Amino acid sequence: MRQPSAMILDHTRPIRAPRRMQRRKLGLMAQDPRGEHDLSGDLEQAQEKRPTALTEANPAEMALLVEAIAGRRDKTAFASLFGYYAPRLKSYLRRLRADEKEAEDLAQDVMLTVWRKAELFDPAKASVGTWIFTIARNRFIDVKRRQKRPDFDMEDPSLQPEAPRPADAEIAAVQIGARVRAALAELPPDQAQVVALSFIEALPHSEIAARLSIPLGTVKSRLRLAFARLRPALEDML
Amino acid sequence: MSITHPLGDEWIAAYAAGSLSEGQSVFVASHLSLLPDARKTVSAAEAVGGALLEDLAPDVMAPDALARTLALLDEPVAEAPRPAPRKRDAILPAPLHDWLDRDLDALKWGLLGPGMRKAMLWRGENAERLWMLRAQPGVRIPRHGHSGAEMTLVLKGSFSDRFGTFRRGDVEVTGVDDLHGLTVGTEEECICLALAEGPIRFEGLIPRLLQPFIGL
Repeated sequence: MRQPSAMILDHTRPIRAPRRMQRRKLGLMAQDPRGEHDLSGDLEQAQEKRPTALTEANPAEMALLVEAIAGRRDKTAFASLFGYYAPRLKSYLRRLRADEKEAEDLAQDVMLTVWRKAELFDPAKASVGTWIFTIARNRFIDVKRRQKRPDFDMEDPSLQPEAPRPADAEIAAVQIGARVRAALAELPPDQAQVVALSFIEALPHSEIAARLSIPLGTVKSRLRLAFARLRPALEDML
Repeated sequence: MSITHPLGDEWIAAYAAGSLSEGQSVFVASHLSLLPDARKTVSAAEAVGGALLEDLAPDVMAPDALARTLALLDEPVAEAPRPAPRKRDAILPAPLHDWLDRDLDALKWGLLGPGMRKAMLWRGENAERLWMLRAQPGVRIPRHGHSGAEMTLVLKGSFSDRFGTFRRGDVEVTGVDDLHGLTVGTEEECICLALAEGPIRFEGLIPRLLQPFIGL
């Protein structure tokens, strides 16, 4: 398994991996989100101070860290999670067009929610990254857009029944991230691009169409095609 | 119950991504809660968000960010009292019911036409609006078009038009050029949630004259 975070730091190596090339096209990597100065210097500095912040998320370890917070209010575990997720949350929030201070404050705020709601995390249902993504997304919509987003209640007993979960679902859930990454890396670049703009910048379909100068129908069909490819990768696991 | 006209995955993706307007979110969440395996579908889409978040180039946090957050960990949290669990409605999907914060009969139902009532729920940018339609069994809705896309989710009963028959959980998506006249199923009243951009355009003279009063 490749280590995307390590690759960000390695500016000396020529770009060879197809996946990396694709990610670069998406504009997700090695970019200074503020466009102010060279980010690599910051990252190297940050790496010296907090080496744990820049290693790739090991889903099983991340889940254990959240469980350590839920079970025994473990602050060291929290600091590790913070080191990894807070800088990425800030990056995400900047791309949602929060300004520097808002993104900083919201990232800290999301991490505080992780501490307070740790007992609600269920490793059988989502990876830590996915759980934190949903907290950040909801917080942003709530605070910045002032929308009353109807939360889809996963526990709602009136939901249509689904097939019983396999006994090893919990082990499988840990691997979801890897499966999603593999499936994303296989997407044709034009599909991967609309997925990234949709999820990381939360752009409405119409704005993606305007940004890429393509018809609205094309945005929708690319997203549909992308999810038709992603579904098989996920369905037996969730 | 089987859903024969589900919403496209692009809507579920946009819901998971958080890129929908409030009205669109209410509509998609309502539809999702009537789909089999809705949890699975939403979880899969959110997993994409999780993976992309982890793959983002990290930004640089303020030097005191961790210290400031650690200092807050032991602060007592004023928990907002959880609202008493709402008695679930047989017609309103849970996300819609929670968002409305009232029952179906407590909505402000206005007359739309013979045997038809409407309740406006929300108006957004670009003339976007979310509303509900309540029609008597067998009612015919005159042929009309739309100035923008419209999506209709059936919550009770059924209706038919030239595109098919739509029942609880089904969504009909119509574009600007899709003129259609609807017939409500005769078995029971039909209640729908509709999301539209741009005003509705009736074809006949009488409906057109009435349009300013209908307010759609």
